[in-house]
Amino acid sequence: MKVIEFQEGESFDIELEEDLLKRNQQLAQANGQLLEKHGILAIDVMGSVGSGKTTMIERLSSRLCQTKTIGVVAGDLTTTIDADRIVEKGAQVVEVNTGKECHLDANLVGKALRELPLEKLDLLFIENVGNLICPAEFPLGAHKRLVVISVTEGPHMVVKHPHIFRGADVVAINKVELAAPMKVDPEELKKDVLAVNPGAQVVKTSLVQDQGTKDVIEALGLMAGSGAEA
Amino acid sequence: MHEFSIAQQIVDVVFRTAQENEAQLIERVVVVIGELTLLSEEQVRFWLQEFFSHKPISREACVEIIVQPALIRCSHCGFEGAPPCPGPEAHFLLPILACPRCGQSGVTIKEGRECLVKKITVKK
Repeated sequence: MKVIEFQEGESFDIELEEDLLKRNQQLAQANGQLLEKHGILAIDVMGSVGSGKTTMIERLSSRLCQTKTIGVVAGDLTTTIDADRIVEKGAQVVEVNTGKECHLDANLVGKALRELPLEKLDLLFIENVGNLICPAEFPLGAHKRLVVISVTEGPHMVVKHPHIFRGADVVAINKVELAAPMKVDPEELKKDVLAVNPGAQVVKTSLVQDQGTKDVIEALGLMAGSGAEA
Repeated sequence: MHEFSIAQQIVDVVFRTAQENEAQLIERVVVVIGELTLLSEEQVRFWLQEFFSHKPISREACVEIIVQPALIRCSHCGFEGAPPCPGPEAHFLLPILACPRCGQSGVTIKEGRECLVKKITVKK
C-alpha cells in the first residue's frame, strides 16, 4: 500500500517498500504451484559455461524419455544451439534468450511455462545461463537444483563460488576422465562441496562417455518407473 | 552482473510510481540492499545513476542506498543477532553461515536478503 506524506510544499514522499528479490521469490512460488498442479517435477540445472549442462540434459532425456514426457526450458544469452541439441532427444523445448541477462529469473521461466504443453509433461529441466554467481540469487520455482561442474574448471572452483552450492540438491562433477591431465582430484572437489552443503548429493560423471548418468538419476530421485535401471 | 537487471527493475518501479502519482520530477530514490545479498552497492548505484541521467524527469534524482544489516536466528540455541563478521564482507559467509554462539549451521536469515525500493520523493 502506498502512503503519501506531503513535505515542503509540492514535494512529497511515496513509500513503496517494494522488494524486488522477494517479488522473484513470489513468482518462483507461483511457478512451483503451477508445476505441482500439473504433476511436473522441475529441475533447475546450473553451472559454468562449458561444464556440461546441455550434455547432462541430453543424457538424462535419452534415458528417461521412454517413460516420461520431458520438457526443457533452455536459457541462453543468444542462439538456439543448446535447444536444438535437446530437441533431437525428443523433449519439448522452449528457448529463452535472455539477451543481456546473466541468469534466468522466475518471471522469464513463468513466460516459458506458458509456451509448454504442461498437461502432457512429467518432467521439466530448466537449463540456466552458464554462470556460477547470479543464478544463486534467483529461485525459479524448480523442485530440485542440480549443479554441473567439471574438473576443467580447476581445483578451486567450488571454494571460489560457494553460493551456488549452498542451495544445490545434487552436484555432478563432470569430465572426470580429464582429472589426471588437469591435475584435479575430484575427491577434493567433492569435499569442498560437502563443506559448504553437507546435505548435497555429489556424483562423479563422464557425460561424453555416458558414465554416471544413472547415478544422477538416482540422486535426483527419478528412478522409480523411469526405465533408467537398464 | 545482475546489478544491471536489478537496477532496471528498480527504474521500472520508480517510473511507474512517478507516473501513477502524476509527478513531474523525481528528486530522490531510496533503495535498501541487504548485506547478505550478492548485490554490489556500488554497481547498483552506478546503473541507477546511468538510467536516471537519460530522462529529464529523473536527471536530478539523488540515489540513496541504505545497506540493511544482517539479522540471523539460530534454531538450536535461540540466538538472535548479527552474524559473525557483519559488514560488507558478510555475504562471503553466507554458504557457511553458522551461529556465533553455539556454532550450529541451522540458522535462519531474518534480515539482510532484501533489495527494495523503499521510498521516492517526487514533485508535482
